Amino acid sequence: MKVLMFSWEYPPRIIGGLARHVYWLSKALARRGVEVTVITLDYPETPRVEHERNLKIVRVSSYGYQSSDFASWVHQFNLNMIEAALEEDASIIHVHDWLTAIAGITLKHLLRRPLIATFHSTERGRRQGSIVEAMQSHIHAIEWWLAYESWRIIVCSNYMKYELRNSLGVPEDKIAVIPNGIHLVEVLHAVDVHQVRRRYAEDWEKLVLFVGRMVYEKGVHVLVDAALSLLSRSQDVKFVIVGEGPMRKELMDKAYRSGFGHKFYFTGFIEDLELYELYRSCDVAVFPSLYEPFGIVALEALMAGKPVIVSDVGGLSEIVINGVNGLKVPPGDVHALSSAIEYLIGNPEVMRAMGENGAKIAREVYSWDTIAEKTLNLYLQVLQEYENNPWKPKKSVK
Amino acid sequence: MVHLILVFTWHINGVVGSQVQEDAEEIAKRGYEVIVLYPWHHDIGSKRRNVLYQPVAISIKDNTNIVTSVISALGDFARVLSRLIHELYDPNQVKLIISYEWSGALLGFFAKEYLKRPMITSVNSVESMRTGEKSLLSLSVRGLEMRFLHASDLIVARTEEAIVRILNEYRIPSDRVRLSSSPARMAFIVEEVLRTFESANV
Repeated sequence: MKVLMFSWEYPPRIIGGLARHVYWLSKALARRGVEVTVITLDYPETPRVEHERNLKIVRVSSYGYQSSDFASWVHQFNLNMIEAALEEDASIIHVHDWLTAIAGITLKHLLRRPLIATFHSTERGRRQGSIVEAMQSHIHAIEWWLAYESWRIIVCSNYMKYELRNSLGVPEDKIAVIPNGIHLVEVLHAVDVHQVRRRYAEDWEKLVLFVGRMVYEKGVHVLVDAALSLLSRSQDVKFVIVGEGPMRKELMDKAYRSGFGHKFYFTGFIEDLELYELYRSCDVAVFPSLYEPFGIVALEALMAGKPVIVSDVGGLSEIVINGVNGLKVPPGDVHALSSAIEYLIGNPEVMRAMGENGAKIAREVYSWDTIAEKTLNLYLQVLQEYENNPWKPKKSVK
Repeated sequence: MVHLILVFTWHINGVVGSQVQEDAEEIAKRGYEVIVLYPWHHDIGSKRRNVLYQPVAISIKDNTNIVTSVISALGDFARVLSRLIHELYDPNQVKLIISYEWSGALLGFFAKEYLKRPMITSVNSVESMRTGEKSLLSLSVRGLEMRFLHASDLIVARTEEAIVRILNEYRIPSDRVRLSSSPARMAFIVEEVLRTFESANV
């Protein structure tokens, strides 16, 4: 089986979570014998073509000509992707998000091969339901078209499945829910927890961790309010808040004005290694998002053996089993969040048990090998349907 | 065996649209079957004298500018092309692709690459003749125009001014540029390219 996979980012070009997703998925599929060719964009001092057993990476020019807006630029690099893909063989075309939709749809028809699309989020979701500007309408329309043209669609959670149904009108039986995977990082096993904790907190303080962009939908403002409520009752806790974003300064000011500034540590952006050390060294991780298609950060904390407290929303709601690997609280509920943190840090045995359960579930359900297996099964199912479909071309080009 | 010539155009009306229709009908008189793919605005009539006018329904109507309009129509043109060559005809019956202006060249180029057939691009005007602006959009169009004119096997300029600009602004080698102001001359060039391509493949 040969899969042509399209993504606008692939390491070392990393914009968001998509690069890592495609990187680990393509590697895990290749390990299972699938011949995967990833068509992606160029990056300085990186070869145009790389081979690693069954995996081939083709990097095309991200287009040197002027573009009048973001969509024009995106569509122009899609032209380069199509040109490169026509030199490859494929039994399945798999695109990630609207950014490579034009390449995927065009190649689907030219080659008459089945198209699979993974939707990591939607424009309507990213804009909190509001499609107002011309660019947003254009992207929303492309997303609708990609959904329409796809043989099957992959989403990472049931929440996203309903979002596609409601926002793009996609029939549910066309959507497969395959969660995002997580890489088992060896570094987790070699962390000097005592040493790491001392960088952030006193020995007697419990360490509560938040990781995420400092934006409204991540609910970090809810966490700061919950922390201040808790600190008014008990001071044996430290809040480490990892991430950058427009709300950072406002929340730092709020924490320091409250008189509890010394109980917060706003790290800003940190490197992966330091982040993994923090996951391993904290007592509990908190993710109070108001909108979250999946919630990979919660999975990372679970993988590190830590209990999590999440808002009962989106993908987070599906990752956490209440009372088993963490606790769920209503989104935006400061009082509930504060109480949940207080309960867990006051019950170390419960935290330990939840952490162990979480790590076990994360390894079994969310490893890239499991995710690749599910993806491969979907490919096989699609190919079986394709083989019996009259749409399959009868003659090839000489 | 039917010899097919596929025509890709963004314009079916106006000056360029007239050139498309007159050229198609002149080429058809010489025994070729011509299929003109154009974005559907209105039906312009069914099959006429070996010319099939094949409208393409456009999926994305919310666009930010002409560049996003044309590129996002690529999948629609590919869908219609696919039906033509895989259901109604045989991909090996296609002998030549003719495109009109940069937009048609962009749409036709991927058929050329897939089918491995020569492409002639007809140019009535280049971007610098249409606008004196130095806007990002105009620069973007110029970039695409240069790219797809270079990707064409032969360019047919329809005016003296166009040929001068193609040679000077886009540095296309002069042996790949012809001048034609009539459908008869266009049909002659088409037959010349077909002969050259066939002899190169023998």
